[in-house]
Amino acid sequence: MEQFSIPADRSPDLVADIGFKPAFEVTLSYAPTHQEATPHGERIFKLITGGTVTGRIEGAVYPHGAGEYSLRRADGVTDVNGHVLIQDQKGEWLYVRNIGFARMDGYYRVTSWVDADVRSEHSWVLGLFFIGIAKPAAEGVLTISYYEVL
Amino acid sequence: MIDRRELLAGMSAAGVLANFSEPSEAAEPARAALPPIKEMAGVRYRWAFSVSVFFKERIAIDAPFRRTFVPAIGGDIWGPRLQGKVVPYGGADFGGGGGPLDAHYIFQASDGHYIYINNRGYMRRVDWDPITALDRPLPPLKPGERIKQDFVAPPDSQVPLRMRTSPFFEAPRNSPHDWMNHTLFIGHGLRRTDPDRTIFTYYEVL
Repeated sequence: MEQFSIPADRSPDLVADIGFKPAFEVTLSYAPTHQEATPHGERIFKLITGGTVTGRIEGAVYPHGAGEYSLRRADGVTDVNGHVLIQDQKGEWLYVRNIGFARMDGYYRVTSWVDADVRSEHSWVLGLFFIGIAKPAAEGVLTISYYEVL
Repeated sequence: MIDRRELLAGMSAAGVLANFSEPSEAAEPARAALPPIKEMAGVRYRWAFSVSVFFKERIAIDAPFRRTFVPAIGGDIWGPRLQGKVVPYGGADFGGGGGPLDAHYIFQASDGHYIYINNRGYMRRVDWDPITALDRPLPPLKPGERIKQDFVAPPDSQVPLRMRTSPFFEAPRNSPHDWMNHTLFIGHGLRRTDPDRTIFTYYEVL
């Protein structure tokens, strides 16, 4: 049988460096939660009622029609599934998709994909993904700090 | 909002919190065996393991959102928190061209457990301009001409590429790999030829 292993690939030199660079920060306000038992687990519906965006993108979270539809699994971990619409200060739209884990121990990490118009000043976000570190800011308010992966 | 304390109490009673107290996690190797925690801009992360994935077939389907098919023909897994192999032809990258990589395949850990990986991310030229992704002119086929769907992925030495991925794993619940079910990872990809493969370095985001 063919061996799919090259000893030189295991060189410590090939443990590639990565890094993180602050990109933007989003504060999300949520409406009261609804929770439903579904075949997949507990689906948690949270409508997003507003928020702010600061950093390399400055704007506001659109308060109508965006939300989170996360799933609390049998092991207590929540699979985050968030959809956010942002308008920058000029009124241009961006879309943010968050997927990740919210754990009972407070660990709340997401990967985010952002769509922007290819002609806009935000086109640098295209084709990248970001990681987000989320922390509760107040009752019903979450702050997510986003980082570009270097 | 959900009452967190109430939920915690319920979870605790059901025994589902057992896997969570990170430092005492039974399956975790001794702290001394883990590489140092790195930190940049406030993000803490740590090398978890590396994977080499070997390739042969490379097929591009010129659908409206160009689809590629690149099976994982095998591979190797090593590092502090996971060892094993990539199951030969256990899956492929099915990503849309110009769009994200989207690979689905299977690991087999050295203890025999199977782990599913969905590896999503990007592999793009360092100087890529996203506006160029809008236009994709295709020459018309000549009568009787066969559609050519093979393509070649260049090594990093020929084209400066930046490949980063955000893998999500599913591992058996009652196994030493359960931590992968609730940890965010970042992958770094390095293209290599002779033989054709990518070396992924996976970090856990702490």
